[in-house]
Amino acid sequence: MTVDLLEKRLQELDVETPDAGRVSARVLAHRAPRPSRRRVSRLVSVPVAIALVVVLVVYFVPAADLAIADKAPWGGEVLQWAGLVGAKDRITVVNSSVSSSGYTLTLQGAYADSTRTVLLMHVDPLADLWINTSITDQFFRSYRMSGGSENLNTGDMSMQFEPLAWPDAITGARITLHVPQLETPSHETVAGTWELTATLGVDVAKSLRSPAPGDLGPAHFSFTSVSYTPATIEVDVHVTGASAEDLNRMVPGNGGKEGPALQIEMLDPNGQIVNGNGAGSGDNGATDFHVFGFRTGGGGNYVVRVSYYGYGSFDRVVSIPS
Amino acid sequence: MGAALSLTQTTQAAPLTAEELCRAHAASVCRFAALVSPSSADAEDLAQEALLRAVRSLRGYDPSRGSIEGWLWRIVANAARDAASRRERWRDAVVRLGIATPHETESAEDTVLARLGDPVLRRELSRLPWRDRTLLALRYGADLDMHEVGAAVGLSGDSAARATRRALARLRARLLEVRS
Repeated sequence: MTVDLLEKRLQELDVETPDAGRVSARVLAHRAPRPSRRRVSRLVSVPVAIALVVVLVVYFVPAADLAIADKAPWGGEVLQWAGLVGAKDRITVVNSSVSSSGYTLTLQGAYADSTRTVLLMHVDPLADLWINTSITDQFFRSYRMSGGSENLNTGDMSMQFEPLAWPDAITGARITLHVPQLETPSHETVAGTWELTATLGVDVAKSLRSPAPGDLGPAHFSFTSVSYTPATIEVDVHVTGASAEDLNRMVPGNGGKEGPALQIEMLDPNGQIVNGNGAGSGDNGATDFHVFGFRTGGGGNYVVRVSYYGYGSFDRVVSIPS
Repeated sequence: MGAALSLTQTTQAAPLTAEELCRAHAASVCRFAALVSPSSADAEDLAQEALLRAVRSLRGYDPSRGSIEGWLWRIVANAARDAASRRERWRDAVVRLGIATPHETESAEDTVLARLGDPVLRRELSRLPWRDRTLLALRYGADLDMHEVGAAVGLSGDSAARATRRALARLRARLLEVRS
């Protein structure tokens, strides 16, 4: 191999590079304050500091009004896809549009909490937006898309992104949606520039007391955290005594479909399963599961049902205040 | 090259702010960190640590003593060295000095090695001694010229060029060994 070819391979090597915007934001947030050469009296510095905080708060905290449900342009179907039924009166109405290459995208509404950011969109004519779609915040940090749903008859869709990082997760954020290309129903790619902005607040998760642990066969289940927002309920479960392979092995399930040996379901106060996406990770004989469900309304008793194939199941109740 | 462009911009517009420093160089630092770190998490930690050091030292930067890039990349290279020394899993022993002469044109090698995928290249890059890896990441990740690479690691431009060629040769030998 010539050196030139190897050099070229190195220059073009595909490596997972940290997000420069996110790193910059962290650096700028953590840098030490510049030492002052001149002493400023506390009498002067305190009001200045307060004024600065006020300016920062005004700058960062979103100014958008929350939606009034009966004026919202989206229907119940979209809220169900998006898992926002329980937070329907917390969605920021945006209703801004942009057109490019003959396609008009409308950002109808946006919602963010500690678990995710959700955009409610409409596209006309029909197209998919999933390709390379991302959002950035006011610090130019980018957030990847983690899921979405679309009605291919109406063009209504919901798009879900990674949760906002600090300090947005507390103060809210000014976000920009970037769509560089879309795909037609006949799978043709259409390039264009669609950018839409929104200012939204964030529903910070509140913690609840964790339920009592439980055992199923050799496996011991402890609940390490439970939290909720108006839209979601999250539960972290720590499992010992059974390997991740065994917990995740596929076994016969209801309706002839196979499913993992360990099932953690979340039921709302009406007994409906409201599981959203979950995630698991295992190391050194212990496995952690992060489970979240979409809330359907106000407070009440939600049930976390843990079932382990061959060993039965147990329920734990999580009470969310009204 | 991005670094040369920003050199012109930054030396004309002193003093540089932390925001400007990050905007101009964070992407290159991140790419460099990705090439010298064993994992994406380590890369992010390194990029953040290096930029944080630079930002905290920014007031001490004296434009009369050299370009902002030279100053910055010295900090970044030192941060990478410190990170490497903290990681015991860095392997610094496999140096094959006997195969340091590049094969300028060997079509058979070209054919064989061009077929090796990026994962193999990444793996073998990660197994190089940290100094080799730093040189290659500065040159090909951060896109610095040899003078700038040398300034970052305390070598002259010529010495940096020779060291980089040796690092390339070691990497090439590793790749050929994997293939055989």
